[in-house]
Amino acid sequence: MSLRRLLLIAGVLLVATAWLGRGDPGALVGPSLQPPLTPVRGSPTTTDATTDAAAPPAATRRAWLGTDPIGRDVFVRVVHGGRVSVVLAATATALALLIGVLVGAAAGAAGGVIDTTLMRLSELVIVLPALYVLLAVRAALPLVVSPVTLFLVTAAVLGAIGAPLVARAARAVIASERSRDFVQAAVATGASPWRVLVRHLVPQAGPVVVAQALVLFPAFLLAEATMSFAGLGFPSDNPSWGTLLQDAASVRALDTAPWLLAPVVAMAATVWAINVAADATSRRRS
Amino acid sequence: MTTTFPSDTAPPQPPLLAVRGLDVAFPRGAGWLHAVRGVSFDIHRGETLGLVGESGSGKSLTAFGVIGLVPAPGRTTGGAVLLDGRDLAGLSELEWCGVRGRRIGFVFQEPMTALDPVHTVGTQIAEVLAVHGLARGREALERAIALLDDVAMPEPSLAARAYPHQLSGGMRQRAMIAIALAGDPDLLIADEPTTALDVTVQAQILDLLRLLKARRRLALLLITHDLGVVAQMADRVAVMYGGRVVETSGVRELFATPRHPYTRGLLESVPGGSAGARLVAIDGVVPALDAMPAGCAFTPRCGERLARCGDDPPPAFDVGAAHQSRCWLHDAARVDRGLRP
Repeated sequence: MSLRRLLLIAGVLLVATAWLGRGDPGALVGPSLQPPLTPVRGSPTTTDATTDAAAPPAATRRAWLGTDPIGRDVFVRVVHGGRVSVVLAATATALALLIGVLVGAAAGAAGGVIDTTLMRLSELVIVLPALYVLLAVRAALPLVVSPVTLFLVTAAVLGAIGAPLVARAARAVIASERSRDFVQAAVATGASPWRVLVRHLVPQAGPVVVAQALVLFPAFLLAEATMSFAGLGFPSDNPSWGTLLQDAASVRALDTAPWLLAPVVAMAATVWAINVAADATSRRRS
Repeated sequence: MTTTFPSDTAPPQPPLLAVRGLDVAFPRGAGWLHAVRGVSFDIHRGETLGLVGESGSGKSLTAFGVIGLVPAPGRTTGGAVLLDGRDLAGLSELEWCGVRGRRIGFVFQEPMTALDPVHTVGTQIAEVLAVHGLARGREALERAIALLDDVAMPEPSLAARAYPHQLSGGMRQRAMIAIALAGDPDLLIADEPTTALDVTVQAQILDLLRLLKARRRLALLLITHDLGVVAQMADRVAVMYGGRVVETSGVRELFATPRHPYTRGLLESVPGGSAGARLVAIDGVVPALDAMPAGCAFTPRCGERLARCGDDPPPAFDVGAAHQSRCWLHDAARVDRGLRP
């Protein structure tokens, strides 16, 4: 995947997220988003009072993956939770790429004081433990915040924390490629410094930036899941995959209702799928 | 009446490119190390000037000085580069963009590293067209293919879609030349364009340059260390040594009657005289930049040095029609005293 395409996807994703959330930002992550945008029928919040909390039913015709202790359809909840988890991780990755490439390109191309300043700032951010920053920011917010606010804040924090990793990688490539012959050759054809940067230097950083994205996406997916699992993230009536795992947090639950681990499978499958897809595109190019 | 070669007499129109006293230096401690010192030459439209010299003689830096691309921390510290009479020294970065590629094309020595590995050849040519507002989009790509056809690239439309690593050395250099020609420049600077290529491919590229020069009435500044290339290609020759042009002449006259001791040594060291004859080499090596004599840089290696050579830089003496040599041996005072010129 070329860097330009990746950044384009990142941009489109951010714009699409913003567009979907226009007017009613709750539509973005809330359970109000209905088909056709959600591929399953049924509500992730409908409970069933007849459910035996100690031994919730396994797969039925109605609930493919069984239910949780209060009778909510696990499959529907995993699909809805994925909307929060995947979109959030993707948005945060997109943000990290955009900020990172911008900062890295500026540092690598400018050199000197600008380079040093930007890189020292990046290192300052890199040494911060991401999860704790996320929890600290969450702690600074009111106890109850809307899922939309939570989504945006979490994506922004994760994106900002991930950006320096991308920036450092991009900067290293751009700074070293800057002295290459083809850069001078481009200048010799009359290309402006700006054009040389955008057309000839930034694209060289493509492969390392893609690699960073593949590291960041799973990390963000897990970070959000950890936060929600700890009860500091998305609420039970608007769950993410991490929230769903709260129900699977006891040994007894694992024994009586192992299907509650479905979100774990979903997370692993998502990360694996992305790696396979990235592999395939890079193989096709070479 | 004797016949003179057109190139041996100064053409009437003003030169396309006139370099006057070009100085390029690198900072060293508190001072400057001068790598190019007072280089002057003219190139007319349709003319090829061969700039010859061994490694470190300053010939590539002279070329970079002409297009304002002396690699940092070095810079042009003096002299003038006049393109159609306009001094390029005072140009802003933006004005340079209109000169580089558009008026002056540059062919680099090593096409593998001078082509951007992440863009196709066609894209890179089309980009030059876009930079100079000559064409964009689909039209630019079509013109890129036409340019590849001009440089005799086999299967131009296929080559336009190829990445540099998919091409052979000769094809890469053809692509490089197509890029340099995309802006339809008046002057083409080729910095050792064949050095990185196989011998058979070298000949093809030289033929191509000669053809393009004639077809487009290009002025060509050909930088090389290969006297064979100069003999084939150049109309006029400037021989560089230690950052200075030591001899300038029409190509036939230079090979027939070289005047500067360095040029003579250079010609004697070319293999191919009589079979079995011992090959003559010039003793010693080029002095380092910080150990250059104050006078003529060739003094330590020169078999005919005079007492003053190490201290006084010799001026350019006229030693024939459009033939100059910087050597005290030609000093009129000496000639008058009946000494060997």
